[in-house]
Amino acid sequence: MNIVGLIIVATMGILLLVFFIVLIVVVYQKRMLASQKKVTDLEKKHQKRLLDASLEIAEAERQKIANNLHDDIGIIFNVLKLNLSRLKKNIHKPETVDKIIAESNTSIDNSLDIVRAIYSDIVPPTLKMAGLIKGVNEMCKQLSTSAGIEIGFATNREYIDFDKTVELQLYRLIREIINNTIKHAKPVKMAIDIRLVENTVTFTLEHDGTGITTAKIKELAVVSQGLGLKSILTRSELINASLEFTIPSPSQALVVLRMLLPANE
Amino acid sequence: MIISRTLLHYFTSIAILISFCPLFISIFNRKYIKGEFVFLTIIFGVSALSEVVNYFLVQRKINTFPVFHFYTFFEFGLYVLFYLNYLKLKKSALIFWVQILVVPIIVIIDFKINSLYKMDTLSTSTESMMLSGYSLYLFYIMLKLPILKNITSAPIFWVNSAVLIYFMGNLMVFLFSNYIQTYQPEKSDFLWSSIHSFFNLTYSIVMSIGIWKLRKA
Repeated sequence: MNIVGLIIVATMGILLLVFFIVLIVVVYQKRMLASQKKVTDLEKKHQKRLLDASLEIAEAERQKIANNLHDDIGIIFNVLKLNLSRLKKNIHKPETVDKIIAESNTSIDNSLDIVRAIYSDIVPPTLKMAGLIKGVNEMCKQLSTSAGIEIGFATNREYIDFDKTVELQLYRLIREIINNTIKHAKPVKMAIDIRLVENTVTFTLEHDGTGITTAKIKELAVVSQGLGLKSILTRSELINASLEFTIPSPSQALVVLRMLLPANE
Repeated sequence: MIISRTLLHYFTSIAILISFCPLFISIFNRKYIKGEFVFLTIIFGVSALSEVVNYFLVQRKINTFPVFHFYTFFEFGLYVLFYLNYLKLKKSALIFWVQILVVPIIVIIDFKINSLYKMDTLSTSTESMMLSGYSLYLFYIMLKLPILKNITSAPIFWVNSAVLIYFMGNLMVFLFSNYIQTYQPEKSDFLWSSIHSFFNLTYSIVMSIGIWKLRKA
């Protein structure tokens, strides 16, 4: 083959190579964009699911407040209204008037207690004044009394400086975990530990009730109609916390929640 | 053979005529020509000017190679500026200074080896290899970072493809041009009229698409 023939063959080879390079660039780029779109769509779907769950939780909380106001405060106001009518009728009977006033005072005190309870359920005063550690400690004491369970509390810090919104979310998440454990695991003893090591806050709940694994939790969250599990998973995702449910031994179950704090906290 | 020569002559003429297209489209799209694409428009202008000068010199049977020696130098410099600007590589980068020093040296060596009245094989081959390198590097960047949403509607994709097709395709012709001219002069015309014209035509069409797409970019 002469030199011109060789040049033509070599040029055709180069042309083919160039064609393949351009083709690979186009195909690969389109595939990469398609896979990126897929990831973005999944991310959007996940965000939407989180938003829906948050709205559902917020709606349930509003419903709970509305129920409390209607069932407790509403009844008391009805009683007070009746008392006023009774007072009008018995205005000339001092003994009855005194009795009605005493009853009304008790009702007003009760309604004040209920309002305080509703308020502290929404924004626990200890949490607001003294932070998460004291708030959780207080919650443990209250639950221990009301549920009749031995709840131990330990920590390596007196105070952790959280962002206030995150702190409230974390508090509600911990409360939801403890409440759910009491309700479903039926433990006799519980031990709670909150630790800050470097920038990681670790909340550990150890109990002797019926344990559950993370996989099972996720499975139940899909089929369950209740909001408890959904709320736990959503809240943990909202504050970027990892949640792990394990059963190290038949008499011991663990819930470990880890959250990374920004470096300056 | 006469028919095929006539055909090749027509083919070359068409390729030369079409090579004015990118310049005309650039003028038509002048309000969309910004940034690094200004360098491309200058290349099209210099290319068109050299084609016109070449035509008049050929008519007067004057050697046209000196025109191409200077054209190669300008073309290469402008393409380097185009790529450096597009890739946002700083002009202080080593690569820029190496080229600024190396290219004139190669052009001078080429003058010495091939003289001003022969094809500048050394310069054009070096230019082809370096610009192919830039083009491949840009494709690599496009693969690594999906900066373009729809690659086939991006002007840079077509411009880069045109550069790769033209300079890689003509590499063999540029390398062996003087050799063929010396040892098989009867085949030199065929080589230029067929291979070079084919790549010239492809380059002009692909480049025109790229410049046209600036309207929608």
